[in-house]
Amino acid sequence: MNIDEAIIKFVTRELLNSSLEVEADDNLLSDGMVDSMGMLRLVSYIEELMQLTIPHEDLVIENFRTIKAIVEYLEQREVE
Amino acid sequence: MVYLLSQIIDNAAQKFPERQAFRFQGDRAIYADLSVWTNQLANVLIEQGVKRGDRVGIFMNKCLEMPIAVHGIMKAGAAYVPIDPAAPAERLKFIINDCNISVLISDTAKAGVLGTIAGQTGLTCLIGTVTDAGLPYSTISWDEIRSAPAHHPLQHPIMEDDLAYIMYTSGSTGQPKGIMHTHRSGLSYAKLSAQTYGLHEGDRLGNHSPLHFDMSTLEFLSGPSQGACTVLIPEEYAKLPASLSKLIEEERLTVWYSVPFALCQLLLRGALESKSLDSLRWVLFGGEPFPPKYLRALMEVLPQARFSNVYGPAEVNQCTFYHITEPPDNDLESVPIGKVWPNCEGLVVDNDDQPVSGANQGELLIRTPTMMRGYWNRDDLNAKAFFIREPFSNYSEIFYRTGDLVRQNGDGDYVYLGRKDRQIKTRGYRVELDEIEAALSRHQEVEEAAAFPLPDAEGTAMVAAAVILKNGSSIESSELIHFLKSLLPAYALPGIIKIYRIFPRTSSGKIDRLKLREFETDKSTN
Repeated sequence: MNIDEAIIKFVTRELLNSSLEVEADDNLLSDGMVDSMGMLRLVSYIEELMQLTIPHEDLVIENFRTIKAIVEYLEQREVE
Repeated sequence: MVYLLSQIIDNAAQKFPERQAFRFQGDRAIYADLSVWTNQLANVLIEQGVKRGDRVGIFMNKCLEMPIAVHGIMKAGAAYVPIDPAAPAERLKFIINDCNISVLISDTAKAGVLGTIAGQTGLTCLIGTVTDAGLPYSTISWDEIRSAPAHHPLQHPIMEDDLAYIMYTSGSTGQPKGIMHTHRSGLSYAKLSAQTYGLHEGDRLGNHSPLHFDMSTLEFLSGPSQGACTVLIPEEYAKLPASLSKLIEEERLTVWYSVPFALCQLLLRGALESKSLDSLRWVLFGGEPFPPKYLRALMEVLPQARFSNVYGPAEVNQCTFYHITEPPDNDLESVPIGKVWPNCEGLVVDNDDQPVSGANQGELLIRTPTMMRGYWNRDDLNAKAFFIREPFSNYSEIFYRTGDLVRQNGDGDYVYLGRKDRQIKTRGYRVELDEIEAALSRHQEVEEAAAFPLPDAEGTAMVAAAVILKNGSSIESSELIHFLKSLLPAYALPGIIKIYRIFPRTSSGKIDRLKLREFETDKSTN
């Protein structure tokens, strides 16, 4: 499973309890989507999945607004 | 002389016309403009038939139109009713119907949910919502409002005891209840808080709380009453701590007010070490206890700021204040909620409403000019909410029963000990556990439901629930969460729902919620 598929599955099932799959471009920060507690869980999930630590200064809107943005951020991390 | 909340903006506009009143991302409104825009909105509302004492809803995300809505509605002589922008359709419909809202100020992003309740409410007019979905509402755009007459709306003389706003909060019967504040109670709060914190025109307040949360009155009413600038913080910033700390730094905020949860997030994940937050002169928090270990750490990071624990149910705005000079030494000690404000009186009573002495525990009753008029349309609750003292014949004093248990310490400060009833706080939000149980019981597969608080790692409480399903049912807890989402606001949703075959019972046969709680706490810590 790709990273984006794993994150989509986690957000859809664990954070949104939704039957409708979240899409890579959906705004995770908008109303009724992931709340502040959910965001904490998402960060922990990604850290465990990727075996990395996300520095606090990277916990910003630009990196976490969509699943696409998260994946881009993680790819950027790998390059560095 | 300002004696109404609806005069605040015009008064500041006379003194500080060019000063910024509100900022939102790249946009800003100076007081002179805000005075004109609120006049225009008020004139449009009056033209739409809004009369003195009517209720006008605000259902939108943070934006620069939000303060125009708040103050424009009050200028029209009506009361503003803020509704959680993430409220499910059922709750939105309930509030609109409960207080007979016919005009709603909203935004286009909300057209979808407004469409789902079309025809089920008395709503006739939407302001700020562009929709081509054939909804049965008339619509007025902000562009149209900006070309409306700009003179002050004088048609409706407003009195101090007129309704100014209604805030809905969790109700134990399963439906929210509306807390009514008047111009007198709201302005008393604005003046007392401005005086206590020495707010002035040079201050920059960060508005972190949503508008439907009573804490927002500091930034929407108290700050403007002194000509200060309020920076509206978009909802999404609250979810990413490093974005939030960056905003505090860039906006040079001087006054911060939020629930402890938000401050703990900033401390733990806000990358504060790389930020310069020396502009903050007040850090105010309230809504629930602040874990002492985090408070100590935060006070070390922000040595220049003064910290205050603020207390007061939405029914009385705020009513006590405790300036923290020294954080508690140990983690088990709680931060006092302090003493009552000037012109307020606190009374601690036992179960027979008899005053208790000294350090004894009792329920806190509050008498204050910032107190609500009552709950909207709920005489049953109003009969129980107040305590009347008659020290002399023909003279009575009205106290609000907070339901909070307190005692006084050696310095005469109140110390919060817990609740008399089954209300809990989660991230500062009030949640009635009875409301959660009532909502779960509405699911056709649920036989019995119990809700209880569980401590979480962030130093706050989360709502947990346990259910017994009807015979033969095989639904999963995720389906129940999905069902609850249609009824409850997001903050009230249980973090976990466990399915039980039998519940532990007390000797009287009631569900033993304490046992359930102990059982689930053990499981989550092991």
